[in-house]
Amino acid sequence: MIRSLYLALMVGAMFLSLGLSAQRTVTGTVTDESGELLIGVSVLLQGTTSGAVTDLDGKYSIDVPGDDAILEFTYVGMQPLSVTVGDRTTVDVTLQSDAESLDEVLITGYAVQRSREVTGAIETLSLEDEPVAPIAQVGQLMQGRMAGVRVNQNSGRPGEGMNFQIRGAFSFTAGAEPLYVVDGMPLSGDISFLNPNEIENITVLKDPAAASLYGSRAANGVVLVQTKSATKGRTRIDFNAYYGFETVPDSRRLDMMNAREYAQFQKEIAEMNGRPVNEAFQNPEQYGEGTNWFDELTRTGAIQSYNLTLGTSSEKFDLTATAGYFNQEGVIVNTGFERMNLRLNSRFRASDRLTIGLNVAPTYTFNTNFNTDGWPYVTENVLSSALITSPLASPYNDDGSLALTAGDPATFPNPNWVRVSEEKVYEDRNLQLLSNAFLEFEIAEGLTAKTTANVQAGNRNIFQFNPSTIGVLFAPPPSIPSGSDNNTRFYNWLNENTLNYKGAFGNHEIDVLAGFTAQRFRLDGTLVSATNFPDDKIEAPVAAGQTLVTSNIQEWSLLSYLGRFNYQYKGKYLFTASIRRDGSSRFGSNNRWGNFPAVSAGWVLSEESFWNVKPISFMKLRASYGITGNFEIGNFTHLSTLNDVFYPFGSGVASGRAPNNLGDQNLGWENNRQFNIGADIHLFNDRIQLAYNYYSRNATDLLFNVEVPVSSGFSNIQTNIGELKFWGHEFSAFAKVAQSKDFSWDANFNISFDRNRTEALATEGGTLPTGILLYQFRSNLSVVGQPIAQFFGAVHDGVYVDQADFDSSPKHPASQVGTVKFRDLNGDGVITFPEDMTTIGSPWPDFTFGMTNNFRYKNFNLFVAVAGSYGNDVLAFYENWMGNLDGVFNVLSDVQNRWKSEDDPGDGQYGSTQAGTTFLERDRWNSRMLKDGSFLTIKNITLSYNIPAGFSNFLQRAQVYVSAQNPFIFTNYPGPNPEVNTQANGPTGANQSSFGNTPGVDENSYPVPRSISFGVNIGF
Amino acid sequence: MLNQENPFDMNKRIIIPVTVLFLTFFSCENFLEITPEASVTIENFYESESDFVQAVIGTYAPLRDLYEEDWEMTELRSDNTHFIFDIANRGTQPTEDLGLFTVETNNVTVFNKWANNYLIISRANQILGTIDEVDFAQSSKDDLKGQALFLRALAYFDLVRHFGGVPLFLEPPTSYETTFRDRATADEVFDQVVADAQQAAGLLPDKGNQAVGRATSGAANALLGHVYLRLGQWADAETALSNAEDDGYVLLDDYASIFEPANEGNDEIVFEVEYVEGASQNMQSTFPYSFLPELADPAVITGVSPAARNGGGSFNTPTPEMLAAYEDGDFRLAASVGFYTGTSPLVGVTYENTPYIKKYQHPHLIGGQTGQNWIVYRYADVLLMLAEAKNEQGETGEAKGYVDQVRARAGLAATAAGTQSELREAILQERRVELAFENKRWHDLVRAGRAVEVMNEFGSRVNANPQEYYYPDGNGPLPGAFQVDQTRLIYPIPVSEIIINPALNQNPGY
Repeated sequence: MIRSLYLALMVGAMFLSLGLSAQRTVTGTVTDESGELLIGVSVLLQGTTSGAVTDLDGKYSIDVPGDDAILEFTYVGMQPLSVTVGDRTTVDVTLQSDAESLDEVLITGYAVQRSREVTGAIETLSLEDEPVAPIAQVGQLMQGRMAGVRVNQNSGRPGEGMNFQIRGAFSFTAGAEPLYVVDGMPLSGDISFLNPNEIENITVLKDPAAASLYGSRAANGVVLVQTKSATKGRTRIDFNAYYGFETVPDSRRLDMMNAREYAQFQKEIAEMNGRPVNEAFQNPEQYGEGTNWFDELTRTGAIQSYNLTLGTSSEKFDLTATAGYFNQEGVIVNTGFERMNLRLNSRFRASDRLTIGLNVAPTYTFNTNFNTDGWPYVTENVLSSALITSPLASPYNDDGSLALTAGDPATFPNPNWVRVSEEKVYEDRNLQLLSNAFLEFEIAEGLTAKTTANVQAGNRNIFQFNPSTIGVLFAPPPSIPSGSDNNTRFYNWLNENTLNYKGAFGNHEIDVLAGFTAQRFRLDGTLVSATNFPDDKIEAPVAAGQTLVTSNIQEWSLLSYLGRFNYQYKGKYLFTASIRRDGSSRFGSNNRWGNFPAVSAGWVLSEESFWNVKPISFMKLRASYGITGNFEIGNFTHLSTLNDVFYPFGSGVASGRAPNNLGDQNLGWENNRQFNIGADIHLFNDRIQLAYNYYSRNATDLLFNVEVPVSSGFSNIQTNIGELKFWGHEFSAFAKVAQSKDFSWDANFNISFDRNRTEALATEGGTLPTGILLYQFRSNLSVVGQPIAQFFGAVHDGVYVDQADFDSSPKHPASQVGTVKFRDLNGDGVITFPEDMTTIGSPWPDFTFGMTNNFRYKNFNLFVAVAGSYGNDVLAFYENWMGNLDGVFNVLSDVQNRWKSEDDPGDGQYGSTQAGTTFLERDRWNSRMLKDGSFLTIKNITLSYNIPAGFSNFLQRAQVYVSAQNPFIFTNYPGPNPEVNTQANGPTGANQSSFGNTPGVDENSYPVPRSISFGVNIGF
Repeated sequence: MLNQENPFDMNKRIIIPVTVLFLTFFSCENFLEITPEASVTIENFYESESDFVQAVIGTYAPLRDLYEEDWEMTELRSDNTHFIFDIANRGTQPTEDLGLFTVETNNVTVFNKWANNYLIISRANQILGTIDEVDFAQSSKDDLKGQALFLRALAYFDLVRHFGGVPLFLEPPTSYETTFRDRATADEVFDQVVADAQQAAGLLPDKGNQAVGRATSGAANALLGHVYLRLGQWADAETALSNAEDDGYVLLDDYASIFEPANEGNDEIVFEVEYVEGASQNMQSTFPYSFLPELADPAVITGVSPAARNGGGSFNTPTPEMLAAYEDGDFRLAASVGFYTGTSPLVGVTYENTPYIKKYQHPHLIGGQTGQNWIVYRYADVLLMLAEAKNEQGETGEAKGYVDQVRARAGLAATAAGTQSELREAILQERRVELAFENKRWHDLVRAGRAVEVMNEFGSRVNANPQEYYYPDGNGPLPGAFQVDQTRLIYPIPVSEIIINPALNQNPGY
């Protein structure tokens, strides 16, 4: 295919030269402002399709018909330049850099604007001039790059784990994720399936003026992704590949006891409780390190990617095709992620007035990421379970085969977690199609009508089988095999119809948009749970002794009207007003429709005639105010519904029905009013660019599934329940610190200070408990007048060091000398819960920041990206099982410093191993579980080398690089990943985990590896 | 550059897309009305006989979860049973707390009882609030209404006995505000129970005319009698229980056969909670495995393989005083209690003639699940309650007759008690062995006003010699265990309810 394209080019060039042989040939050299030769610059003869490309010496040669010929020079990352040939035969040009240039064109939601005209708060990232970094997911590109946009890697699970948070967004409901829009289509789900190589730019709309045209779902911001389309006059063939290795560095592991320390620990427990010491623990010195289960469970994983992009453009037709293959072996054995993407973006200019576009992008992903994250109790979460397995047990039998169980006399036999990882069958296959089509017609001068049809559809299957050789904590193998087969199919379609008028009257320019959209989503899911298989031979549910089938049908629809008015006077005074009216099926007929207006204005001071502050080449002040909405609730929660329940009369089972949801017909939209002021200042001819924003957002009529007393027969109701406030400052600075022929240095820095507060709550108690349930107490509490969702628990005050201390201090009925001491907050002399619990910490950082530096020396390029956060707390929930003092699990090495006797009181963190007293310090939320989560992470270091001219005639450009992802994390946080957050898919049972959105909780999640890759980028 | 063609064509180019836009404006609202396809809405329910039949079935459903755990808050709390202490697994501590009188306000079993009873009440309220408006056969309507009333009465009786006064919901809530209700007094709740049970007794058919497992007039009368006994209204109790007596129940000849799953719904059973094994909707009972000593492979006792270790087993283990309560020659001992000798996976424990509850152990097909039902009321219970009612009214002779009927079935001679107070003791004792492990003992002690005295004595025996009560060497009950006073006769309101509704007052002593 490459060959035939090349052939076509040669033939075309031949024809051209034949036809125009009577004309003259113009040659020249193209350089950039530092004098550097530019290779691959597209030179187009205006008004024709005749073009040329600069070679490895920056030289081009093109035939022109006459003196009035105009040559158009375009190059990635540079401002385009048009030059009239005149009577010259040599035309040398210098192209200006385009980095965040004011004429850079931005896609800002239903509109294309120049950067200088924007009145809202926007961040952009253009990937055209990026070295293609070896990252698996789009989110990794954005870490630390944009002020006010936090991209956290919650988990190192291959293909997953990126969590976006714009301006400290938080919601009590399903999540605070922004709306993801790809090529104009608001997606269902997130963007982790996208191939980063398909993306041309990413724009983040942070305030309502920018996001208002997505009104109802834009409360948490909007992430717009634009995929690659061909540049006029250029044909490109790019091939990118990289191969690398990932490992978990020692610094990112929790420090557990080794075999000798553990045996000593067990011996001391038995002695303290007056029990005979089991012979396995009588002589701890005989043991060495024992089994390090984390090592056994982790490995070096390979990561590789191959990508081919073809693009061609002619006067009538553009086509860009991208095909990619990505494979990441997870660092935990038997986990991994594989992705195949294909994308075809085409555009057809049928006539001067009519343009038709079609994008088709199928994606197939396959992962084997069985449950690794979360607590260990009666679940398959291998990480926490393996970490607490006895170091005396080996995963291998003497003959080298995998053992069935792993335990010692003090613990119950548990599964061999290495075997569980290797033999658990988990296959998640996901086939998705994303497709956009549009038709744009110019009805009259300046008046364009556009209609789009977009669809996102998919089919996902998760197949699991648990053979008899695996089990869970407390229930080791051999076990009765079970399995499940989960199929979901969904579609999401969107139709948009807009009318746009652009006109200029003297110095006044206006741009008016009106439109109407409809969107519908439907998901059908079938889950087959199969149990009581007779053996491991057949894994399909047909072999099961007992199967249970459940269905899940979800559907929602949205209708919207939108309008926008943009006005500019002489490029100095800017004004935008917009409105969107949305109706959603998720609300009762009383409250179905919501109106979301926004207004913004800007003043480009530097355009004023009085402006003569020399160094400041551009200064713009802007302000905006708008209302956006949030409708992330269940599809039918406004309805009172009943579901199936069963009761066995006699020997049969009878089907009955019972109410399972208390609906609220008055349920309405959550409203967010946001105000933003900002300034953009450019100095020294755009060499230094500064931006500042202050925002203030009020979220009212908060949607929340609030708990009600179970004496009503229900446990919660979805209702509008309160008001939250968010505000903050954002600064960003960009500078071309050094610029010369041999050396240049671009630096980019951003920092945000985000704050929040609970303004009002309509709950009966005036407070709102949320978060993880531990023995009936929730981990977070929101109190009016204080930051939202603070951690709530008892205050850890050391231990009762001796009898005197014990006698003189308030106690809990189960307390004894040496056990944990909590502070008596209500002064009543006894420790009770929740009376002696209070807000003990906050998951919100004081500030977050990011910095990137790009150094270029001759043909070498060094890119370093850093991101960090300061002042947030993390709730180390893993202390509950990894600090268990009963000797039933392996524990953190720090437990060696616990209270052992009045003469040896330890460091006051862990208490006595006296039987019956140990549950308090682990089963009640308390401040010992809070750790400082501040961190500074070097996200990416990439060293690349541009292979110089003359290497090959075929290659236009070639680059080789070595890149490290997440090479260094600087933090005091003891756990493996300070960016951790708990996902809402915890296990069921008495201590339910993860209720709603619980930021900053560590339940032992998949470690974030350090990876090093070698790659090559080639352009033909 | 305008094309010089028919201007009408150009208009067409505008008109068509605009009209399309316009038309779509008008089909708006239908597009936004979506009804769920995997569940029914309340607007479409409670409208026909079939709907109420399903709703009543739904009202029975929480009974299964309720009675899987009821023994933890009743039998375990009495002097009939205790547990084998598992040093390694402290996850069972909340269950142990129930037996040691060290219950905290966040106890999960206490919460489950509260929540499950209110599920029954709320579902019954939905039915009772709508059934009268719908037109269908009166006999069917009476039957369904009676069942809802019986279940509501059973649920409130369970709540008031365990918690004292509780929020009295008689209508379903419709909004956030109406889900909050203050506690009623215990008297108010008892009045409601009596009213509901009386009404149910009048509406329900008797056992011969009712499907297996459903409430009958006999069940409603047995419940009514039980409530009156608790309230000390002896004459009313006697009336209700006599009505139950007349419904054709008999004492089976063989005590053990009462509990056999093959004998489900036999003539001695007045009301039982149903379970069935092997159903895909998980309708089985697992409590028989909780009553077995914890074993790596329970098949050594049950004979059913394959079976996983019955973690959380060794509970409700008969105490030495329970074993001693059986008189010589009592057939019921062999039927109720088994003994096991063997190794234990528990740290520091070996089983040497360790007793376990045998009356619920029967052959079944699948390891870990049984179809064993839980009997709530049976005829022997009715007779002994009648005896108690009559004895308290001074009719000791007639009362004795009932006691002797029960004793005769057990292979024992007539009771030696003669006076009212002697018979009172004898009835308490007879209930202990006849209804052993059927969750009656704790409430009998409370009703007799003897709970504090008996359990304090029991506690001092356990503290004095823990190894007799299945603690491994070097272990014993928590300090603070068995401090029994009047406040411990009821349980604490679940703390999560109070966190959500601070207007609720906690029970004293918690």
